[in-house]
Amino acid sequence: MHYNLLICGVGGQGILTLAEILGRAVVDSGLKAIVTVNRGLAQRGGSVQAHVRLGEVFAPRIPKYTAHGLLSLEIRETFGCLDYLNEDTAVVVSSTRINSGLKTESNKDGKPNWERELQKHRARRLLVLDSEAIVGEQGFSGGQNVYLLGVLCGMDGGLAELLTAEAISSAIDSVLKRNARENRELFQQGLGQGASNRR
Amino acid sequence: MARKIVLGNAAIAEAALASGVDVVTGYPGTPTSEVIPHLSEIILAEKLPVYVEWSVNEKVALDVAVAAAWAGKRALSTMKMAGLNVAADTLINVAYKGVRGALVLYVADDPGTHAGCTEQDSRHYAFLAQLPLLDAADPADAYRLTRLAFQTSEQLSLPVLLRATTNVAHTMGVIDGEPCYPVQRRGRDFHFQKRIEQYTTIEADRSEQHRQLLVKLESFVDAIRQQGLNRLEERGSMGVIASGVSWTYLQEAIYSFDLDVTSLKIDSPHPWPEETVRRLIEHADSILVLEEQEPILERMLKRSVADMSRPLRIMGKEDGTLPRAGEYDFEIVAEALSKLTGRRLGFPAASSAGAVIPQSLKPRRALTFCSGCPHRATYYIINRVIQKLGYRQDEVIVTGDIGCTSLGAFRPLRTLWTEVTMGAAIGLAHGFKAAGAPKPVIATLGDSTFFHSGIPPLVNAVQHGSDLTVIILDNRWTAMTGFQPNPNTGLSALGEPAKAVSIPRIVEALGIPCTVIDPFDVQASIDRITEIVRRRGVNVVVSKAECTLQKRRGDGVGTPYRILEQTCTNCGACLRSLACPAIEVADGLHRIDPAACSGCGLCVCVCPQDAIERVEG
Repeated sequence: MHYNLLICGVGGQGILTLAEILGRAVVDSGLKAIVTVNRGLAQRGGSVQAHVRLGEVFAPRIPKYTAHGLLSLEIRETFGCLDYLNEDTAVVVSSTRINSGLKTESNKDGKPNWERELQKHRARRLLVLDSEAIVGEQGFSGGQNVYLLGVLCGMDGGLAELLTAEAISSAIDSVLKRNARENRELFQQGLGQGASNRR
Repeated sequence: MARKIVLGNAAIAEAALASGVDVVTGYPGTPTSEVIPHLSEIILAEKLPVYVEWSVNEKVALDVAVAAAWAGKRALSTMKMAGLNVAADTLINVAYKGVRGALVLYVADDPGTHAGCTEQDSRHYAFLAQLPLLDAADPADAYRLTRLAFQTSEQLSLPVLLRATTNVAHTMGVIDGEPCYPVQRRGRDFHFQKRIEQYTTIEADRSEQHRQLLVKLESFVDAIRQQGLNRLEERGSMGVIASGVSWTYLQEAIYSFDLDVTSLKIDSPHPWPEETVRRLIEHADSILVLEEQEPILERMLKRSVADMSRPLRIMGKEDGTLPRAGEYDFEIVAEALSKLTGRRLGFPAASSAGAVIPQSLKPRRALTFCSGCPHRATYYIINRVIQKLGYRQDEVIVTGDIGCTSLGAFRPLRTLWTEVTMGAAIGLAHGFKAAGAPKPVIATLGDSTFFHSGIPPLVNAVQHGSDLTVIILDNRWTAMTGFQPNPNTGLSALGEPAKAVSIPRIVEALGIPCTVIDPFDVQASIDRITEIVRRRGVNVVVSKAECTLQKRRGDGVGTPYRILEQTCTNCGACLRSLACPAIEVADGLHRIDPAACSGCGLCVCVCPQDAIERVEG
């Protein structure tokens, strides 16, 4: 049994932190795991992909078409991951748009319709959320990454079979040096949001 | 035993500490740079008596480690594949002399060229130097092989090469780490015995040393076989030989498709485990060889097969089953296994996989300097100097070097004409002059690169009366590989204060002028450098400003700038000429993200409307 989770976004969005949280949860749960975040040179503000593989796994990256879950912190980055998806992949995407640097651009001008394009291109179990707004309401700027992880855990039972919400919650506690409580709450909130979108 | 999930490079660091390493040296280089920082963290936390240094270059790093190993200590030296080329002179010489303690040289290759160098296969060095090489497949394997490398190195008085590739070094896996402390260090006090006939080349019986080396290599095969290396798993008449990360793809395929193959994991391509390979050959009708980069195992296998005169089908790179360039992945290996087994192996493509994803949808993030990077300012200045001298940009040769400074080749600045190896900027610039370049030639390189290999070509240019301008972009850190300290930083690998070596004083000692400029004082710098480029002889400019990312961590950066909406005509000159990631266009308007802006003010110089100003207060 195994679970292939692909996380994508832009450097600075907390993908490494998510990988670290999942890694910690894995070790505490006695699971085998492989995590590969961008190989080679990292570039600030550049594309980041993390391959998080849990259970009976060997290769450093997820084989094509075999991701069980995709967590995207930046909607456009999702398009760089489509080769890993199949019809059953649970896809959770933040509608956040980030230009080449560490800044967001409003999508009010509506071109193109990224969500529709995503559905057209094989993301069938798709949930797009304005995580920036949802988390922003909590009055602190971080935490979109942890919130979206909660959503995916709530939405996809497969992940929960290997890693319990409790294990992830306590990993959040031990990995995050700041705002651990707020992040745990966001994770719980995400779980609820994900569960109501289970499909 | 502590179960943890760590990077391949961290696994090597932990295994070195568990092996009681005494001296660690290295030069930063992707994908090996994480070993020394990880090790340093543990050394500081546990107050371990281990000496660590980021050496000035890889050859010096290896020299330092060799002396420690001769004195009975356990030493580790780390470097990327390009760095091994720099250290190769020492490596090949020391193979004859042997070691007394342990000497492990960790090198990482980069199939797929994620690290910006070539697909050099460093396994060749094991054959060239006639030294053993252990080839890691994943982080847990890297841990195991590092432990074994130290053990066999000391046991056989032989330096041992440990190799990984990017997909091993930069992958996190679970290891069962042993405690690094307290490690038994008794009996390993400093002891270097004067033996001129062993430690000098001129007095040594080199042929005899060569013979001894070959004997040691023989015993290495036996020593590691006893440890369960080069393991053969017999399951049928179809054989697979695999090493490195290819081994993990094979395991994934065996698990996913329930394959029956007889497999041999090659841990030591050199020395070649002939006996075990012969057992595989006896079993198999066909053998597939899975190895990235060069067909080294494949050719060794063919030699073994020829010696046994048994008809056998060998599949690999030379029959076109697998590619020689680029990295392997699961799909490539599954396809090769399909050819071996006659089964259709692979995961079904998604039904919509045929749909072409428009290129316009794919994310594109151009590689460029960070916001506030002083190098952007320096290259902008150089472009303006060329203009001011009355030349076009494609008339004045500007050579580049390794590291962050190489980004000066990218759009929109496109200042650099060449980028080859560490320090080559100066050697090439002099070469262009020697070959008769009629227009000015400018060499550019970073501070760490200058110390690494930039001093000898500068001395050479001075000696031979060259006419060129050398601009050293001094940002105080070896930034691209993760902000390691260099001789100019004033810090040790452990973060303790160290002597900062002055670049201007080195330059002045050569009897040539050295001018220090502030790249953010743009107009003055343009004037100054224009005047210097006009001069005869070798002239050095140090463009000095700390790496902005490091500055942000330290004393912070200046107040941000903003674009005045009423004055800005959205002409785009700022983005077009600088591509600063802090400048964005949202809803048709140019603006500066105050969180991303480092307050360098370079954009003020390029705005034709004077529409950029510092944020008040």
